Amino acid sequence: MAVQHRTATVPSCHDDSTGASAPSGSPVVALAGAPNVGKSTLFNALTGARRTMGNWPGTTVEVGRGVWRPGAAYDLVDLPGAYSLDPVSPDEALTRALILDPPARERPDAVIVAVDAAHLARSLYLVAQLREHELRVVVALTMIDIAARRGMSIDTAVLQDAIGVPVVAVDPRRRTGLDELATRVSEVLAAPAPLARGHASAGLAPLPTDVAGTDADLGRIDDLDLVDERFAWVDAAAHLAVARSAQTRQSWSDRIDRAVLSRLGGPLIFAAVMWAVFQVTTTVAAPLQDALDSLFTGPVSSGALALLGALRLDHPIVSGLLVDGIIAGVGMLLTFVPLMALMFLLLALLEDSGYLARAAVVADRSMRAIGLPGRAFLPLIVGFGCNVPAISATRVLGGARQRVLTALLVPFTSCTARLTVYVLLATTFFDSYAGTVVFAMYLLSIVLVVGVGWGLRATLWRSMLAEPLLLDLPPYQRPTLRVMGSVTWVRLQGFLRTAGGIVVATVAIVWLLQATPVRGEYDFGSAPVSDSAYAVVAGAVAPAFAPAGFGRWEATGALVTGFVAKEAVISSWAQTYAALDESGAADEIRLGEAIRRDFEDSSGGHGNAAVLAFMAFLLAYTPCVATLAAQRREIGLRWAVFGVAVQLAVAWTLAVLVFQVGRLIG
Amino acid sequence: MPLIDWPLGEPAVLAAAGPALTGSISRLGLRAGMSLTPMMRTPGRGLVVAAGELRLALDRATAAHVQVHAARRSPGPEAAVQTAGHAGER
Repeated sequence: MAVQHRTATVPSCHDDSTGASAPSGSPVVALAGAPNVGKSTLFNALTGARRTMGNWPGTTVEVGRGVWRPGAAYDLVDLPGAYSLDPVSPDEALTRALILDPPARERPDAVIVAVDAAHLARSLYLVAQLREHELRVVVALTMIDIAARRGMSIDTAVLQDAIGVPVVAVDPRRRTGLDELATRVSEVLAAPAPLARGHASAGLAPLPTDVAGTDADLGRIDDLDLVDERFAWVDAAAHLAVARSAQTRQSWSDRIDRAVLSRLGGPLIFAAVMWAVFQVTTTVAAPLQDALDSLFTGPVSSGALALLGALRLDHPIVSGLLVDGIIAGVGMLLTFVPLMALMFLLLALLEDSGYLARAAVVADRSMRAIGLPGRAFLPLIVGFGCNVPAISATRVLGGARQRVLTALLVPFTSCTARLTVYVLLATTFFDSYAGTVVFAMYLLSIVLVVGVGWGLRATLWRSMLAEPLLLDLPPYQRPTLRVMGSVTWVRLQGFLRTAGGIVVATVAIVWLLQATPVRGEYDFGSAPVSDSAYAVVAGAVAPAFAPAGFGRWEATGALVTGFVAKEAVISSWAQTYAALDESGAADEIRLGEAIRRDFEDSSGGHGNAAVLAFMAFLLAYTPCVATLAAQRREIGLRWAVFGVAVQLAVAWTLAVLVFQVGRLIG
Repeated sequence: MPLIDWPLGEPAVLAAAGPALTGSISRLGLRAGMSLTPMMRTPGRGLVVAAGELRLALDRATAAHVQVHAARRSPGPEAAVQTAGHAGER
C-alpha cells in the first residue's frame, strides 16, 4: 500500500512524519485498546521499544510509531488509549481520527485490539465498534495472569468463534504469544478486508441484514439502539468465553487498598511517596548533575580548546562559539539527563505498579480547589525539585486541558536552582532573617500556584467543569525492570530530541550577545560584559523594572541570563561585577557588596524592598529555557509562549507590588 | 438512593447516573442493572466501588449522582433476587 501524505486536517496512520517507520509500502498495523490494558507494553515488546514519539497537529496526544519485524516489516502505530470510538477525550478523538476518518485506502491495513482478559466485557466494546467497519481486526488478549488469579479462565477458541475475529493470548511483559500474534496478523493481511459486521445478539458472528452494509448504512441506525445492541453482543460473547470459579475472594489488591486508600493512612502513605520522589529527584540526581557540569566546563572545554589550538583554529570566534556556545549548551542539556532519567523511572515505577491511580484518588480533593484532578499533585511536587521533569510529569494527567493548566502552573513552583540565588541575596541583605526570607519564598511559591491556578480557572478555563473523579483502579502488579527501562528510555529520547535544539540555541545566543562588543575598542569575545551587546539589551529593558526598584542593566542582565538557567544568575553577576576569586568562581563577599550597592542605588535607598521585589520576580518568571523546551514538547509552542507571557505579567506585577509596599513600610 | 449513601459492603444495583456521567460510566463498562458494591470510603470522602472485577474510585459528588437500588426487590423478603444485568464477567 502506498504511503499517503497527510492532509492538513485528517491525520493518517500512513503519515510517516513521526519518525521511525517501516520501509515505504509496508503494511500499517494500528494497535488500539483501552487505557491500562498493556497496549504500550505490547507495542514495546513487538518493536523492541524502537519507538519515536510525535505530537499530532492540533493535539498534545502522543502516538508511538515503530517497526515490527516478525518476518515482513510492519509499520506499527501505537494509538492513544480509547474505551470506544465515541470520543470523550482528545486521546479517543485521535484514535477515532486515525482509524476511521481517513479515506479507506489510508486507514490502517489491520488493527490489533489489546483486550484485557480480566475486564473482558468492557474491552470488547471497542472490538464491537471496529467490526462495524471494513477493517481487518485481530484481538490480543492481555492480562491473562491477572484474570487467572481472580479465578477466571477465557477460552480463546470460543471467544474467537463468538466474535468472529482472530484471538491470541499474549503476555507482552514475558514476551509470550507474540509469534502467534504475528501469524494471525499475517493471515488477516493476506485476506481481503471483511465487510462491515453487525451484532446478532445470540449467534454473534453472523451478519444481520439490517445492520450489515456500508458505514453510511450504519449511520442510519438509531445510536441508542446500536449501543444496546453492542452491549448485548459483548455480554453474550463474554458469557460464552469466560468460565470462573464460583467463589470470589477479596484480592490482595483490595487488601493493599484498605491501607493505601484509607482515610488516615492514605494521605500519610501518599506524603511519604511524594517525599521520596522529591528526595530522589533532587538529592540523588544533584551529584550526578554536578559531575556532568564539571566534566563539560572542565576537561571537555579545555580539551576542545587544546584541540582547536593544535589545529590552529583558536580564534576567539571559533573557540567562543564551540566552547561557550555549543559545548556549554549541550553540556547544560546533558546535565538534565540524570534528573530526567530518574524522574521518568519513578513515574514508570508508580504507573507500572498501579500506585499512581491511588495517589490521584488521595490528592483529588485538595487539588480540586484549583480545578485540577488529584494526579496534578505529582508534577507540582516534583516542580519544587526541578521544573523540567515536572513538566514532563504532567503526562500522568488524562485530560489535555488539565495537562495544559498544570504545565502552566509548574513554573511557579520554586525549583532548587532558584534557591541558590535566594540564599545569596537573603544572606547579603537580611543577615539573621535570611532563613525566614527563603522560607517565605517557598510560601509565596505555593500562593502563586494556587492564585494563578484559580485565576486561570476563573477566566480562560471558566467553561472547564470540574472533572468527576471516576477512576478505574488497576490491580497492583510487580513492576518489571524491562518495562520501566524501556518506557524511561523512550521518554528520555523524546525529551532530548525536543529540548536539545532550543537549549543549545538559547545558550549560544546569550554567548553571542556577551561576546559582541558595542562600545570601546574591543575585539569580538574580549570586551567586558558592560560594553557588550548583552549589556545593551539588558539596559533596554531596565527602565521597565524601575517601578520595582531594580531598573539597572546589571540586575536585568542577570534576569536575561536567568532565562537560560537560574544557576547562571550568580555567575552572570560575578562576570558583570568582575567579582571572581582566584579559581574563577564567584567571590560571594565581594559580589554581595557590589549587588547591595547597586540595589540601594537603583531603589533610592530602599535596597531591601528592591531585592525582595527582585526575588519575587525571579520566583515567578520563566524558570529556564529547558522548562520552556519541555513545555513546548508537552503542551505545544502556543501554550508555552502564553505561559511565558503569564509568568512575566505575574512576575512584574508582583515585583512592583512588593517594592512599592516595601518602600512604604520600610 | 444515591450510591454515596449506600452501606459499605452491601451489593446494590445500578439504576441511573446523572446525564453528565452516563457517558463516562458506560465507557468503563457499567450500565443500568449491573451490581455494585461500595467497598470503602476514600480520604476525600468518596468511594471505592467493586463491580465484578472492576474497582472504581468515585469522588463524593459523583457518587451522589449515581442512583442505586437494592438487589432484592420485594413483593416480599423471600422474593427471588432479580439482577437485571451482570457484574463483570460471570
